[in-house]
Amino acid sequence: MSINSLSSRIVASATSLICPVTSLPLLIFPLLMAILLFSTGLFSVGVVKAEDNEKVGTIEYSRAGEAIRLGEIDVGDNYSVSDKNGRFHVIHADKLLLDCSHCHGAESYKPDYLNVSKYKALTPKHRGRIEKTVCLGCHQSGGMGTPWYTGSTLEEDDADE
Amino acid sequence: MTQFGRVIDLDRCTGCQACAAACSVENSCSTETPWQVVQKYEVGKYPNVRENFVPMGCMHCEDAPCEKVCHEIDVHAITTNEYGVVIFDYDKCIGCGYCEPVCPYGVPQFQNKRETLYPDKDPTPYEAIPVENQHPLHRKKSGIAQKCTSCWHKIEKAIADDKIERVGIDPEYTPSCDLVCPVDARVFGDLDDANSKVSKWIGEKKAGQMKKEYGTSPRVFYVSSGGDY
Repeated sequence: MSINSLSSRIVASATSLICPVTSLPLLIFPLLMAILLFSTGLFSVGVVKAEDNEKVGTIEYSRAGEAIRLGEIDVGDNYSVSDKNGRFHVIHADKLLLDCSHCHGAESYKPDYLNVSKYKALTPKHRGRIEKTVCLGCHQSGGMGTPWYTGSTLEEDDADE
Repeated sequence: MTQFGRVIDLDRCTGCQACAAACSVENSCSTETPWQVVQKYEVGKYPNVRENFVPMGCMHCEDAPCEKVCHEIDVHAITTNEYGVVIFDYDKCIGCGYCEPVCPYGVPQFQNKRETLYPDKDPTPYEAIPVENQHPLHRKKSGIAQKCTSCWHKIEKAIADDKIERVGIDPEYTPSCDLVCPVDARVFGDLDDANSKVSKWIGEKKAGQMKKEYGTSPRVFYVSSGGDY
């Protein structure tokens, strides 16, 4: 027996107790209640799914990072930060799919840099300064990335909450 | 154990750039890769505005992320010596550039071509010294990482002369940037000695570290009445 039919029966029996005399409410009221219950159920499922997606995203980042560290994902052996085909950009842009503007968000960009296509290469002159706080987000102690920094803002975030 | 560190009093700094100039001459830096810079920014609202100055070089962090990342990729070109000075080995460095983005203070520098401090003029007396006679830390290479060494060549001399207690006092054993400050805004010395001037300044002037959230524990402290960083 499905949940909807069960809820309809419960609602029907309840309505028959409330409205034992008239026959019209006996037909319409359970139907309305069933729709209400069904839509509420859908809504609650939607909320849970949104939270799950966020968690799944974080877990996936962590798993991908761990797999890279263990060598399960091939990111090459070109240790060059400036080379777009080097490990640094392969890990962050190709494997973890971070947008260029994630790190290269400085005033030296063109005013419309946020509208630039995700896959359009940025020229060196628009590269801009790298905002170091972006690195701290993942590479802090307890973060998803390799912990280059022993400091952590996670406890502060928890305290704020 | 001696751990060298520095305190810079931002309330006294006038932004004259003498520290940056002295460093560039002492360490043969080109204009595109200075080891010491003076950042400036404006505060206030017109007409009550003023400029603040923050001299910045290597922080010689206790928990240096540049050193961590260098060891992680198995290059081992960056090490912290027993005196708390972070040193780059130009012969081991492969020029990958990983130390540059990982440093919260933007310290490591790369120069693509070897330039002199004054490109249109004769080399400075320090630059004129033949490479084989230069200190190893001054034998920079193009495409290889370089940064402030706290004038390690001077500290090394103090150790050799058995006068380590004179570092930060005698000109020949003191980093040039600290030596030339005309307003006594900088002091260099042993952080582990409670009676040293650096320790006293940290305690009395309530000096703090920059970007503490990174947890790198820099050995350069700043005094600022504007508050903590």
